[in-house]
Amino acid sequence: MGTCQVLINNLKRSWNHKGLLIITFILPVVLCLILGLIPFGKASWRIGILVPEGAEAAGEREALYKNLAQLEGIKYEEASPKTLHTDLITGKYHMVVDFRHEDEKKPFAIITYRNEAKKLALEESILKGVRSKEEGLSLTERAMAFLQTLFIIFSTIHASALIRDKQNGTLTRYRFAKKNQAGYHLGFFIYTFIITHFQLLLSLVSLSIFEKGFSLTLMEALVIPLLMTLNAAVIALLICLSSNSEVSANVTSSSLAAIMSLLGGTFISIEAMPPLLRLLSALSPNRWIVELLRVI
Amino acid sequence: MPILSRMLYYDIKRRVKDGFFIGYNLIFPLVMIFLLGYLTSESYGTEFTGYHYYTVVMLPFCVAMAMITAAYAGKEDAYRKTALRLLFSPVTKAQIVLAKLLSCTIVISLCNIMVLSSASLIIRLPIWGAFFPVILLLTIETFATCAIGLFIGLGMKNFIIVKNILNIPICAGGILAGSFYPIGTLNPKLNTVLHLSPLTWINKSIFLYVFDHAPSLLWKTAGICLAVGIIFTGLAVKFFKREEYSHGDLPGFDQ
Amino acid sequence: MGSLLEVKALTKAYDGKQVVRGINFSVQEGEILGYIGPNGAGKSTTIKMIIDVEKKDNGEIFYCGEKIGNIMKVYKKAIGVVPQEIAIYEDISAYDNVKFFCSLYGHKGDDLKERVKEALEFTGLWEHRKGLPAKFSGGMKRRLNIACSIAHSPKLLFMDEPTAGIDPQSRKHIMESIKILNARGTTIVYVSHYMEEIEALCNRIIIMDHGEIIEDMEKSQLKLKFEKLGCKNLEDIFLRLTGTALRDGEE
Repeated sequence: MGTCQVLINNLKRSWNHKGLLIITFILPVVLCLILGLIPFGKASWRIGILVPEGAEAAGEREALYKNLAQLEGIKYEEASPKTLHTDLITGKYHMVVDFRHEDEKKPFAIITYRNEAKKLALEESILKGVRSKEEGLSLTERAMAFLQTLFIIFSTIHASALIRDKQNGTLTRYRFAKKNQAGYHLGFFIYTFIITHFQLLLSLVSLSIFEKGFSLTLMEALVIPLLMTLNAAVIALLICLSSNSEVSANVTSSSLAAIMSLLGGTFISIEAMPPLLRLLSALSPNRWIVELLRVI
Repeated sequence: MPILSRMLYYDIKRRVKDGFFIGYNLIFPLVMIFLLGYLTSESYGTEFTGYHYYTVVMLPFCVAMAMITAAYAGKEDAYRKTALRLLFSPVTKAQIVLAKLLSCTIVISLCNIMVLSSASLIIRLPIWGAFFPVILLLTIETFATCAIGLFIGLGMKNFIIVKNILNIPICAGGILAGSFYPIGTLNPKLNTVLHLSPLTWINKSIFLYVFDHAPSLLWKTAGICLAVGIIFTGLAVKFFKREEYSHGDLPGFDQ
Repeated sequence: MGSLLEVKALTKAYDGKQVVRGINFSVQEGEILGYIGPNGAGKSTTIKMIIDVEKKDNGEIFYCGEKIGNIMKVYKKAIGVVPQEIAIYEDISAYDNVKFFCSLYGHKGDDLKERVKEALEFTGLWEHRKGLPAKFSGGMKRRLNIACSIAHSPKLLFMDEPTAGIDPQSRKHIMESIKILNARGTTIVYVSHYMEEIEALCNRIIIMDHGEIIEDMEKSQLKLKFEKLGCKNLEDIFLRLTGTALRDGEE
């Protein structure tokens, strides 16, 4: 009964902060739409090329572009020697191929900060003109993993009212009437779950409408959002229970969500991680979601 | 001037004593650099490693996140009920804003210097020739983000709404800027989207300075950050509302 | 003795609701003025306008015959305020608290140290000067709250419920301190809901209700006036003037 009252009370409280409620509903949708624009996981090499300069090399350049156009899975553009290293580091190019060399056996040199294996794979791609084998997450997988990250942060915003209640003494007041505070926490958990789930469903509907590559089967749409909400609400409640202030809860949730997202393979494929982190990534809810999507 | 320096001294003292503030600006970047560097260690070669990459991109991101702590620092006196005391003493609103702004900027910048020098020593980032310009850029970025944070904390009426969601656009800006993983594209439209994040420009200017020995973008970025910082400092002073500043009973506000 | 502070036709409205309605009063040098009224009467708003924390809509405030707007720096150095809320930093020592707030009034060096020592001794906190207020009792925090307000030796001191929520020992100490401060030449405006405190301390009393001053006279005259109407003490007078109806939702 007490839990139910805490839940109803919290829904009323959040209704009184309509501005925050509206923003927290809109923001995930906007961010997801932006996410759709980011080319995560496209299986293609981005190559910068350095070509011989001057009028006398015009024919050579033309022949080179003709050859490059025939390669599959490779996007290329002429690189600027002035920003070469920055473009490589910031990921604009996976590699820069320098065709200014005049070696008969190997007419180009590869400049990259990637490891040897990737360098060799690219060399082979260019020589054979084959598609890159680099695998990534699909748009749906990546979007779901991203939403999991985002909703850990949003759930914490909702659950952080618990910290206020601890400070204002309303939690103590509850304990005067009820013997333990578990009911209060449970009420908060259910409230966070309901609000987060509603927001998540709204984001998924928006993504399905506006993002062409995003699709979920009925089974996925039923099961996975529930698990995502559960993850987010549990983590949010744990953060709020262990934080002394709202600012520390909010910043902790952002940091934790970022780390889980990275460990879970949202940005870096799990196969590319060191063995220890590959093991640790099993702890990330983002990975559970991606794996579940693959299983279902 | 003596009043400002006195306020600044006590504000710095409070910032230094604030475990969360120091932890967030000193420990967190180091942890992130080493964690993410380790995480991506297999993706990079030996000449340039993941540790190098994250040392450069993590500091500007953490500085941007300091906007939140600066916003809270703006409300600190209201929460502690000491705002009223400052208001009825012969202290101007510019002195109140400047003391908060400079204290946050100084302490965070010191943390940046410590993080950058210790990370550079441990992972051998070839930054020594560019150390001063990079620290200068980070200090100016700190000044700008703290000015924006203070404008939010001192001048905005709906601080309660803003404070909760401030980390979302900062994180989004961080993602676009490659703070978590380098995001590259050859698509001009997407490239424009990535460059909407100010962090993209800051990261790029540091990389250009350190690895391509091209300093011009760094100075331009620093100039723009400085201008933004000055504008927001002016706005924070202009929109400083005595009633809001002393309003420590904001529902849900806490330090 | 002349008027130290003069308030003329002061008004303030929030969202169209008039909370202070053109009030006039003065504070005479050397007196302890009791400023009382029920919750929502407009006392705090009036004080906040006088100490320049809140903007006034209309009216003028004069200090020593000058508009305070013209002599703001001098005026602010001359006043001290003991806020109702305990306005101290809990994470720096008692000594540092007093030192910091006193330094905002331009005091430095040995003069500053002397003032801090004097204020802490005056409030009985010198022995606890190195302690953190977070660990102080309620009474000690209240006394530190006063020490922070008097270290710069204000000529005019506003005290808003300085004894709220403390034990009788601390209250007695504070009351005696106020009398000593006044004897040393500090003019005091004392706001409180404790009628017995007002009765014991003040020479003159202003009663405010619904944004207007409904009574302003010497304590002895006030008592004499209402004695005939069967009022035995200040509380009876207060209730007779402001009524016994609850003032819900008027803050």
